[in-house]
Amino acid sequence: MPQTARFDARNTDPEEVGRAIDVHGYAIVENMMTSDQLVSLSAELEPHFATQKTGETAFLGAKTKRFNNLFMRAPTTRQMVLHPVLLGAADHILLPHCARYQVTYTGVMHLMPGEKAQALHRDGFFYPFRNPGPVLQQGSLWAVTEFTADNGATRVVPGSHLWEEERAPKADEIIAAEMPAGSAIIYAHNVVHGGGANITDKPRTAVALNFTLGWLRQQENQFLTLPPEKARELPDALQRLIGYDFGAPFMGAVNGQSPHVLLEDPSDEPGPRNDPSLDKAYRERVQWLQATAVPPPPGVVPTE
Amino acid sequence: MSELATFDARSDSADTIAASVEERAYAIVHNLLDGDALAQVKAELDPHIDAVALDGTPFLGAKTKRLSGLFTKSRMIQQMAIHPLVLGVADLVMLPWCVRYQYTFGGVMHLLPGEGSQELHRDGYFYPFRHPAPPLILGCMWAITDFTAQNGATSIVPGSNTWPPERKARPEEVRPAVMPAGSGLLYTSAMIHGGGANRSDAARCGVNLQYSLGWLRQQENQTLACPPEVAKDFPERLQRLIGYDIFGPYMGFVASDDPHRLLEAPDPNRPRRRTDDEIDARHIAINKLTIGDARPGDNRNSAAE
Repeated sequence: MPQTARFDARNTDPEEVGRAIDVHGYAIVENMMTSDQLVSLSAELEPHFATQKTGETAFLGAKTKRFNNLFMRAPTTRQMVLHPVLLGAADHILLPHCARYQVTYTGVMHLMPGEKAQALHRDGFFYPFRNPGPVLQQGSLWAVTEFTADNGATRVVPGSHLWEEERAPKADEIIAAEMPAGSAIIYAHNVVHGGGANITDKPRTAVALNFTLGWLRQQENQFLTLPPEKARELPDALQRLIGYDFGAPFMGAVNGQSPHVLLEDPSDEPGPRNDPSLDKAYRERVQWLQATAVPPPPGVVPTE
Repeated sequence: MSELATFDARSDSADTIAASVEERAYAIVHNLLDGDALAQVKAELDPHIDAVALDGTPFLGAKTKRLSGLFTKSRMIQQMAIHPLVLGVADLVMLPWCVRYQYTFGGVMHLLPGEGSQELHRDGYFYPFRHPAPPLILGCMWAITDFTAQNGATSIVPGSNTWPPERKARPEEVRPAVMPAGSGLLYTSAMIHGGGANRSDAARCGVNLQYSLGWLRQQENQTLACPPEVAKDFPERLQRLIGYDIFGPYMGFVASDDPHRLLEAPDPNRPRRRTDDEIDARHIAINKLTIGDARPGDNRNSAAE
């Protein structure tokens, strides 16, 4: 069983990273980016910091600039999202519960000096599942600047992915995910975490690249963000990862065919209605879930 | 043998019909479409049905013509998908389980003479929930021709919504959902059903329009099937139903904003919307799920009828 939650991408087994996430809820992996990638990514992001707005809700942060659609705005992220360690960890933590996972969110979290700490939370709270339960999403936060306790390094509660829904962390259960620029923290959606406070005089920049189970709705609609004329620019593996592929047997089709057909040269042959290898994976590997309803608290009445 | 639960759209309320769907997982509703509407949907679909090649797998049917991408083929189907009585039932059945439900799949299922019966199944196989589960999908099979015991009326298994997942239907438990053209069979993913065999000499035509909980992925990718330049001409209710909407706090956005903005005139002064008070309040008010692993590979069959 992995004792450490800290790895070096240059000499680690991605499966080991996945196993660390099983245990701790997260893993910090240094050297996920080359220095060239860091330079190009920073240059791609820089022009947006001036034009982007800060968050419109308290949760999104009054002094945090957020923007999405990174595969177009920052093409270096197209390489990052296909990093073998990131995908290897996702294979380990997400494939027990889906035939194929997908990109659900790409975003920058640029914490400016004076930003306060964000409320601790679990990701994926819009899926109405109570903890503990299956891992629905793999998050990754990439340090574009270094992450320190003072500049707003993500605060993490190790092991909290296994906790009961209502358990709140005590102060001494929270750590700061400090790491050098070019590292990433990879985490299960249900580990309790939140942005730190930035008490320095420089911004802290992170890129988030998140995956979700292939049968759940995407947080950022990739098909409207990257319609076929834009998605054609992307490598095939990334096209499929953002959803131009079946997400489960028959799921995600367009005109009864794989959505990838929209990115291919026109053909008289009908595209596939399904993918037999996916069927087999779904039948033999995917864990089925037993759901028990928990009604809302008394006095809370749904309205429409 | 008892009568099937049958209602009339001209006199029965959404509450009455939803109560049947919740208790029995189905309701047959007569008179959802009048003669003019039926004539229109037939006229719109006929040329497309004529052009369909037969290429089905055994499950999809060797003598069944299937069509999807229906909103660009038929304006009447746009109206059927937002029929007030059907959505009234969907509100009652699905909103306890999601902030917003969505349109997930639409298919013409046109059974030619000689088609055999389809394997019985529950819908929603691609969502890996073991039965009993919340109503993940609510379907409405619209009868465009009469549905008779001879021409392949959908076979349904009343009561199967309360069965343990392993229980198979005996032949005497399977009933044809007989209904005149213009009716709809409303049913949830809890009910065992399948296409019937067509032993008549004419085609049986059904249009199955399905809704699913908004936090699930759509079976048919509607935003690719109906990109903004196509969807901009749809009724707003339909635009939102197919995915041009926020489906929970911070879920389903585009450019950090409500995807419906893609269909509206640009307004740089309007604040971005990734959630709002109503969405947050509804999120608190829906049922939450405690999830445990069941077992791999439940062997139910797939696709939709």
